[in-house]
Amino acid sequence: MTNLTAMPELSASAALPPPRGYWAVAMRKLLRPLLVKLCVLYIAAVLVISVLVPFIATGKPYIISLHTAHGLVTRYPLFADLTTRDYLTFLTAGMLIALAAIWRLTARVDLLRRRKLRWVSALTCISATVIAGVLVASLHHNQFDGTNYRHLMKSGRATGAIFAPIPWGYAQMEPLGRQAVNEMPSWRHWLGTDRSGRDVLSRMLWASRVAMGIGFVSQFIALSLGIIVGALMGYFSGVCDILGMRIVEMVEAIPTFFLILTFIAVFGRSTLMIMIILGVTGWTGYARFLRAEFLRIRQLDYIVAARASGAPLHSVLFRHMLPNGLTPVLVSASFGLAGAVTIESSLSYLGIGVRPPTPSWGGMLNAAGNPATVFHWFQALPPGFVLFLTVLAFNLVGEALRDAIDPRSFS
Amino acid sequence: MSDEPLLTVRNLQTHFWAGDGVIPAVDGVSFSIFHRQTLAIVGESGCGKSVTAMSILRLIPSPPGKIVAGEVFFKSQNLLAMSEKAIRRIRGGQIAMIFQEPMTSLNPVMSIGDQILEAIFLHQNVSPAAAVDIAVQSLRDVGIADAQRRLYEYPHQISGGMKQRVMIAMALVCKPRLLIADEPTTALDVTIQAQILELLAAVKRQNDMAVLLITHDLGIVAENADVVAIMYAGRIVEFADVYELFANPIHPYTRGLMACVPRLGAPHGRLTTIPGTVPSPASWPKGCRFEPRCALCTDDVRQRCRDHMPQLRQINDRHWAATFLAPGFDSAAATAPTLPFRRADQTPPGVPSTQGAL
Repeated sequence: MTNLTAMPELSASAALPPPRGYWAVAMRKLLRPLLVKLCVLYIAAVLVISVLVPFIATGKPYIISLHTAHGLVTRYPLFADLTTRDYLTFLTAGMLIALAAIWRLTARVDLLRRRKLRWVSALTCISATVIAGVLVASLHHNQFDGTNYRHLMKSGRATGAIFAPIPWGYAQMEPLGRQAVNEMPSWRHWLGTDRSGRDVLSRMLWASRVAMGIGFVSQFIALSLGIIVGALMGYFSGVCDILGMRIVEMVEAIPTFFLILTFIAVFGRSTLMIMIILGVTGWTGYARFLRAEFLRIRQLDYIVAARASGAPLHSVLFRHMLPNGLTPVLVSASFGLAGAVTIESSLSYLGIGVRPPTPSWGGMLNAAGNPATVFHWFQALPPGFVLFLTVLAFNLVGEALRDAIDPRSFS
Repeated sequence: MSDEPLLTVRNLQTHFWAGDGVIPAVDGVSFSIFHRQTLAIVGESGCGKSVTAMSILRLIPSPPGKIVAGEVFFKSQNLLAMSEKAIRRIRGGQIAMIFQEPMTSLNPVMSIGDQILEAIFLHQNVSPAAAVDIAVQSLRDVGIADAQRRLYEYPHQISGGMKQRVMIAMALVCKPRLLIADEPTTALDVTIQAQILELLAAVKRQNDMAVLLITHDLGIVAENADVVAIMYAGRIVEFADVYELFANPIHPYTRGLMACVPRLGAPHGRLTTIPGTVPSPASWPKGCRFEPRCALCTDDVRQRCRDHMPQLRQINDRHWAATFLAPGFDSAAATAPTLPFRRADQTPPGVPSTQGAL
C-alpha cells in the first residue's frame, strides 16, 4: 500500500472536492427535472419493495410468543419462512449495493490506489456473494409453515406478535367459512381480495419481484451479449462486422413472443427460461447501437492516441471506448427494461407466464376479468396502474437519459 | 556526427480500399530520421503525410487501410514485420505521437491523471507512488502549474493549449526516442502555437529526442526543422536540409508553396495561389502528379512529364528532388533520401530570418 504521508501535496489536494467527471455531470443533468426525479424515485421504490417484500407483505409475524406445554416459547416465523429464493435475492441486492458503495467511496481515494482498491474489493464482494449463494442453495431448505398465526392470537394460544405492515401472504387465503372472495377494498384488505380470497395489495407487491426480476436479469443478459458482439463488430469492422451483422439479422428474425410460447409448450413454465430467452433474443439492438458508436469512436483522436501509447486491445475496447460509446446503449436499455416488463405481463395475462400461485401484474389483470361474466375493477386497477407507471417511468428515464448524455449539451 | 539513422522508412505504400477503388494514399515514401533531428513532412491536406505517420506505428484503421509494401526500421527492427505485442512496446515507449486536435485527443471520461498513469504503467514497471511522481513531474515539465490538482481534472475543465500540453506530457512520460507530432499546432491560436512550438523544441533538447513534425505551415518548418520532406499526392517530391530548401527550392510545387506565403513588407495585391486542386487519387496522371498544376513546366519537357513519373533523385549532397526540371536530373542517382543534418551543428548560412508566415 502506498504511504500517503510520503506525498504531502497529494493529501493536500485530496482535501479539495474532486472535479466531477463526465458521468457525474451527466447524472446531475439527468436528475434535474422533477418528473425524472419522481420516476427514478418510483423505480427505486419498486426495486426496494421487490427485494424486501417478504418483510412487507406476509401473514407470518416477525416475532410471536406461543403458549406451549413448556411455557412461553418465542418464535420468529417470518424469518424461518424465508425461502432460498428470498436469500438469493437479498444476496444479489446486497452485492449490487456493496459494489455501488465501493465505487462511490473509492471515488475520493487518490488515483493510484483507487484502481487496485476497486478491483480487489469488487472481486472480493462478488466471490463472497457467489460462495454464500452456493452455500444457501445447498444448505437451506424451504419450510412450509401452514400455521394461522392470526387464529392463534385470536384464540389466545399466542401473545406478543408483531405482524408485517400488510399481514397477508401472496398465496394466503381467508380461512374457510369466512366467504371473503372478490371482496371490495376494506380495512382488512386495503385493495380487496381476489376470487380465491387472497389479498390484492400483497399480491401486487409480490408481483413487482417477478416484473423487476425478469426485466433486469433479461436485460443484463442482453446487454452483456450486445456489448461484446457490438464492440467487436464496431472495432474490427470488415469481415467481423459482416458476419456479426448477419448473426444480428438472424436473431432479429426470431419472433421472441412465439419462441417463448414454443418453449413453454415444450418445457413447461419457468421464469428463468423466460429471462434467458428474452436476454438471448434481445441483445441485437444494443449490438447495433454499440457497433455504430464504436465505428465513430474508433477513429477519434483519443482512441488513436490510446493505441499510439501502446494500450492493449482490451484496454482500448473496454476502458477507452466503452465508457464513451455506452450512452445510447443505456438509453436503449431503459426502453428494453420497459419492453421486458411488458412481455412478462403479456405472457402472464395469457396464463403462460409465471407459475401460480406466484403473482404477476399480468396474471392479476387476467384474474380480474375471469370468468368473463364479471369484471372486478378493484382487482384490475391497481396492478394495471402499477404496470403502466413502471413502463412509463422506464421510458421517461430513458428519454431523459438521452437528453442528459447528449454531448452537444455539455459545455 | 555521422551516425546510424534512428528511423528509416523504405518504399512505404499504404492503400485504402473505398468502395471498388483503391486509393494509394502513401505511394512509395522513403526517408530517414537521425537522433536529435527534426524532420518536417510538409504538404497540403490529403497528400498522405498523416497516413505516413500513422503507418510508422501501424495505426492505420484496417479495414479500409492496409500497408501493402515497404519497411520501417527503428533501431534495426522492422516495425511492419513485428508482432502486435512487440509493436505495443514501441508505441508510446520508443515512439510517441501527438495529434492535431487537442480538443479530441484526450479521453473525455477519464481524468488527466488516469490517462497519464495508464501511459506510465504500460511501459514502466514502477510503484504507484513513483508513477504519480512521474506524472506530476511530466506535467510540470510541460509548464502546467498546480500539477497535483490537474491530475484529478477532466479534459472539459482545461483549455485547448493546456490540453495540448497534457498531450505532450503524456507522449513524453516514457521518454521516447522519437516523437511524431501530427500538426501539433494547427488547431491552436497563434500565440498558443508559438508557446507549444517552443515547448516542443525545449522537450526535444531535454530528452535528446528526434521529432517527426508533420505540418503544412512553412513558417513552422523554417523555425523548427532540420530536414524537410515535401509531399505531394502520396510521394515525397523534394527532400533537403532546411537551409538548402529555402535557399534553392527546386520542385515547382515547393516553389509554389513558398510563393504562397505572404510576406511582411511585400507590395499589396492578391495572395499567390497554386492553381487547381490536388487531383483525387482515382484520377492521378500517369506521369508527374503535379504536372496538371505546374506553372514552371516548359513545352519541351511537358510531354515527358505527362508520360513518365519522375523518381526522387539526389541532385546534390544536400538535396533530393523528383522533377525533370531539376538541374542535372538525368545524371543523378535515385537514392533514398537521408541527411544526418542538424541545424544546431552548424551556423546558419545567412537564411533570411523573416522567412515564413510568423
